[in-house]
Amino acid sequence: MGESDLRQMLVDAIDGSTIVGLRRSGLMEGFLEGTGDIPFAALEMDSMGVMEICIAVEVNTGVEIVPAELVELGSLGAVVASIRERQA
Amino acid sequence: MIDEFFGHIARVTTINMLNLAIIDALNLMTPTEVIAMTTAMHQEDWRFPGKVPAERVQEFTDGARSIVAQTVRAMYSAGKPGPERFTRFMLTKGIRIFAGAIEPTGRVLIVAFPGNGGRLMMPLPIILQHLSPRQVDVVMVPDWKKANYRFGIPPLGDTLEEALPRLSKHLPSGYDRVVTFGTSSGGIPSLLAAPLVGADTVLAVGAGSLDDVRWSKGSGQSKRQLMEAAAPGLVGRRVTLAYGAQSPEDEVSADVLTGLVPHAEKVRVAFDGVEVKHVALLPLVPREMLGSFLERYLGLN
Repeated sequence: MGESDLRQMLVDAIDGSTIVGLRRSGLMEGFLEGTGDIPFAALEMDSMGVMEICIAVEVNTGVEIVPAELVELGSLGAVVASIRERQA
Repeated sequence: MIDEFFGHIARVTTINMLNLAIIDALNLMTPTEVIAMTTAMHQEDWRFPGKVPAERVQEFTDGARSIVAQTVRAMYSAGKPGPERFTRFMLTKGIRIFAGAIEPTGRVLIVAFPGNGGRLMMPLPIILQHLSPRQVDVVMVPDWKKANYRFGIPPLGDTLEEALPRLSKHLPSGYDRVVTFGTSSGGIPSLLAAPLVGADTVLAVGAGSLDDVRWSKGSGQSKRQLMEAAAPGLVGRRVTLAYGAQSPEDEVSADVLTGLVPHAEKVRVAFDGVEVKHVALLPLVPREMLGSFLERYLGLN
């Protein structure tokens, strides 16, 4: 899965999750285009949301990022980078 | 259910798949089942079952116990001496009733539309523990596609306008009252369903925007079109639109909805020193206010 596919996968996963901040953040288009990042603080994400992203990453890419690691990453762009690094 | 759950987690090999199994279980379990599960998991000799490498067994054991313990703690906030006894039945594929008693007379049927996570802003056993099985039965109508109901309620129908009239035919009858209750993306469906299922009361918490662009990918009418058509049917029914004080988007959504349903009561959930955002029901739990909130706005007094 390439970088743009990973970005789309994360957006789709968040759209199907309990996280409501993605579209409210106004940052989604830039993230999908690869020109911007979305900090977790903008996502209004609780522990359930963190688990949902981790589950989606593992189901769609086979990469295991556990919730504590995800929180440390701090942004969706960093999640993409981490997945690519682990897939390399 | 408990054996099924332990059989399921015995097959997982990662923390994320364990979390998924627990999240799914907590969308289905009754309070009694959660207490039975946590009791089994806190036996001194209980260790995580299955294929996990020996060096990670403790991590998985602690992880499983931790998530379930959070739910149990929240259940205790209801201030009741033991778990409330509800029994789960399948009404039709994907739609379950959590019945407190067999006899509907003198009781209330709650038809509930959860948000994308399949839950009413918290695991189902917490909600059930804050209700009385002597007073209510609860039907859960989740969107298994996790698509904000824009593809309806499969398999009842691929659009809400198709699915909701069919839903009403599957609901048990004979109750004194019917109410609808929706959270997040389930908020609008709870409003749309009320006239169809004969509900006298609607509680929608953090209902989404009528102009959600994701609905353009759906197969039916837009949410705004559906609400404009349904609004006259809400006249004479009690409607409450609740939202978190620090969720301006949800406040705007409530304002837009009151444009269509002028008699709706807007309720702003607010606490000093605490931000109440979209998940507006959750802060009520540790303050021991969830039960009285549901009683008040679902008319369960």
